[in-house]
Amino acid sequence: MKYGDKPELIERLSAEYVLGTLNGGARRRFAAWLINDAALRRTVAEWEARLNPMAVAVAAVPPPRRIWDRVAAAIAPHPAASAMHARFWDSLAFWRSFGLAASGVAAVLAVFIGLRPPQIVERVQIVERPVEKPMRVSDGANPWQPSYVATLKDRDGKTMLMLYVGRNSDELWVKYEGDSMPKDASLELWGLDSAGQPKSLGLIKKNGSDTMKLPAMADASVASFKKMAVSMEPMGGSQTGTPTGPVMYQGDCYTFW
Amino acid sequence: MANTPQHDQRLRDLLAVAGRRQPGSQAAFAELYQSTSSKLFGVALRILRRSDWAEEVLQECYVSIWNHSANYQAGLSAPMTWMTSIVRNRCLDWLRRPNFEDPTDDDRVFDAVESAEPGPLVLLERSTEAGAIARCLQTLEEKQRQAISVAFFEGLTHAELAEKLGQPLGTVKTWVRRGLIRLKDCLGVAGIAGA
Repeated sequence: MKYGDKPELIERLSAEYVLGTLNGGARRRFAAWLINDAALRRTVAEWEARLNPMAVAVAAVPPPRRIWDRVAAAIAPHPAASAMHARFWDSLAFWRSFGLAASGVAAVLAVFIGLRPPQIVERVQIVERPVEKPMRVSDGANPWQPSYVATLKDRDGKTMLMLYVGRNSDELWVKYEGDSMPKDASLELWGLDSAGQPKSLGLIKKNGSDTMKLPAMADASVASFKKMAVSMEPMGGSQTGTPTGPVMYQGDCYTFW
Repeated sequence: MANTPQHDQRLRDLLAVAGRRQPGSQAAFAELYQSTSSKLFGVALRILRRSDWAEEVLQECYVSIWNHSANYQAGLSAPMTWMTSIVRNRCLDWLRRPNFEDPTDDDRVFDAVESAEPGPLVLLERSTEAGAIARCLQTLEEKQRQAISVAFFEGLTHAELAEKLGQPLGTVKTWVRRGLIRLKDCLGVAGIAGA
């Protein structure tokens, strides 16, 4: 059909295409025109700009979290990592499979002990199951406060969050490596026990170093955590007591003494 | 979801970061999802009337939004308008596909749920966020306004709309056509900037 010389018809069909009232056959024919006609696409875009703001009146319905898991899997750069991510909260097997590499632990320790003499670092033994068999300093001397440590990584394996708390302290030291804080959402920190049950530890408030008050001394709160994770939640945090938004970062929780 | 200029700008920024495919792009996209998915899921649910379909469409649409985030042109449409268009188009294509099975039985379930809450047209009229479109809808004749809003929110064809309103097809088509012309006169092309 020649439609280029019928501006009124074009206007009407564009409007009805956006409104949605064209039947199946007409809709498909119109969509086929759109492919090769930039002017027609512009007319449609104008109608979208006119009519689609009506959608603001539709009641919002939070989608089930599995949708984000699938979207995250589809857009992840590493397919293997994303497949695991899709089952993130559902699967304890996933938790177990995501053990922190020894080199990662060493790197984090280097950050935490900061200015301490390097020979002390070399004496640290890395133990694979840190909660049950905690890392020990081999010469018996104990240069550090007994403590809990966790590093949380994003899906690409980049360390985004480091957490540290002394065992007899309720002040959790947090270092967040994000480029910026979300403005319309909150980042909420969770501890997960061996059953994968999440417990909120509060919101990440800023980039860089900060402290968070724990609900109890670390020995009575962090001690039970096998994992820690950060999820993206509505402003002010989850209202349900469990994560409702996408999980951004996660990692193992380690005990040192 | 607040439809403020600040929120609008934040969504533009998030789309821009997502489109660059750099460290932080996925986090930006996650925030975009967090702050827009409830509204868009509501839009899809209302048109499709089945949560399994709405879930499938929403998932496809966010992957599509991610894939096209680099092509999003901030000057042409507001981010929420752009994303709403993607979702509505996908929903309408879904309903208009050949050999489509009519979800009549599910309609009844949904209608029962809907009757308990105010309809979107009522909400639209009360809304302070919809701006120009809500104001311009008020300039339409009642039957034109009803035809356009029911078609928009429920994703009905002319024929389905005629059946729902209990009017002849030609009459309903005329209401829609005249209503759309009046809306255009009222909104002009300014709707793009203010959307």
